[in-house]
Amino acid sequence: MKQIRFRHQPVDVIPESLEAHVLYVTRDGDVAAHLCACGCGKEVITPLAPTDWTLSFEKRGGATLDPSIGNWAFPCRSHYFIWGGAVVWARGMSEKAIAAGRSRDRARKQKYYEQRKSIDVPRRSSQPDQSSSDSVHRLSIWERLLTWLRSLVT
Amino acid sequence: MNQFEEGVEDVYAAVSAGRAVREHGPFGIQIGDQSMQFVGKVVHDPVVTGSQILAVAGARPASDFLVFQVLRDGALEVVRPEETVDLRSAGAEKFLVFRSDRSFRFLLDERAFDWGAAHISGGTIKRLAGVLSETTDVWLDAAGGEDRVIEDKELVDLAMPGTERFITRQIKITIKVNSRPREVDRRVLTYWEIVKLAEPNAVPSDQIIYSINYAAGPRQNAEGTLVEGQSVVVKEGMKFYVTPTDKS
Ligand SMILES: [Zn+2]
Repeated sequence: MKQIRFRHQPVDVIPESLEAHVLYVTRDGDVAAHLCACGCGKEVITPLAPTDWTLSFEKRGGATLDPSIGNWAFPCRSHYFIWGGAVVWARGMSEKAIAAGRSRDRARKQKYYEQRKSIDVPRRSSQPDQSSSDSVHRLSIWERLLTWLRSLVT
Repeated sequence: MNQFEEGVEDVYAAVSAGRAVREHGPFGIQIGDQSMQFVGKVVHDPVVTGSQILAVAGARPASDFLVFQVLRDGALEVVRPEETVDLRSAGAEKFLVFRSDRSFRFLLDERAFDWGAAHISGGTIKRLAGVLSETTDVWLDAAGGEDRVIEDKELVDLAMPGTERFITRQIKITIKVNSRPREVDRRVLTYWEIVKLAEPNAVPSDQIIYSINYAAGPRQNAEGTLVEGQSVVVKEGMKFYVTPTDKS
């Protein structure tokens, strides 16, 4: 297969329809999106979070998404990495391996959120939260990481 | 809430645990007062009248009091003295006994209503207004203060000075699904409702598992992950991340 490269594009909102070979990244650094590298036209959403994907940039400007992108849910079942803006094709995976990966992922997310709950600051008043009255804003390690990422994107 | 003695069927505990209420008594029920303090009381018949509830609540003279059944959705329904309630039917575990020596007037969507008790729940107000509970909010328009939403199970004190003014409004909340704004008309969304905001044609399948993470949510579910069968309370600006893509 010929070399496919992704150009990264900072956006406020991921557009409703995407262009091929563009890796859209929100300025908030919370989610990236692209059209499947195989050319099938399917939209691939990769949340950027400690339990999901990490986005980093090479000195020469190409974006790296880690870990790989496993589109087992699409008819194309493509599997690839985006390293320094370039697509690196990976091997297919067995149903068993895919299922194991999914349950590992679920367990990791559950553990992550449980840990965050246990280190949470004491809650504010006992009133139910209504709309946008967020008075306290904690900077988690993740949010600091986001700030750093954002500075790279913009 | 009170524990009951051995041999008493705790109706609230049965309903909470999702099991059927026993056929025979004695039954333990919860009776609350004006200040929403509930105490456990024991009745022997599975079918009780309003008068019997007033009697076990110690409300005397009975004619000065009103009995309300607290329904599942938070609405209050008057149980008249001769009316009966079957304790074995769901949602019949909680009652409120209010002293009712006068009526209280309030405005609901600019219409005047007279209510026989000093308290009214958000759920009851929605019933009176004839609106759908899930897609409508009731706001208390506080004179000089800040308007606020009244939850279905929240009780408003009508005995406060001034006439309370309630307004019903269609719920309109904008959340962000994969950064894209999506307007929703209810406060509680299920896993599939959220998946469909990302992927309108999504249908349940074994091959496709959508993972959902959320952040910037209300305090009861500020952040986390959502799986099939679960639902979540949303608020303005809440962020959802939905993807069928796997990591290796
Ligand atoms: Zn594809």
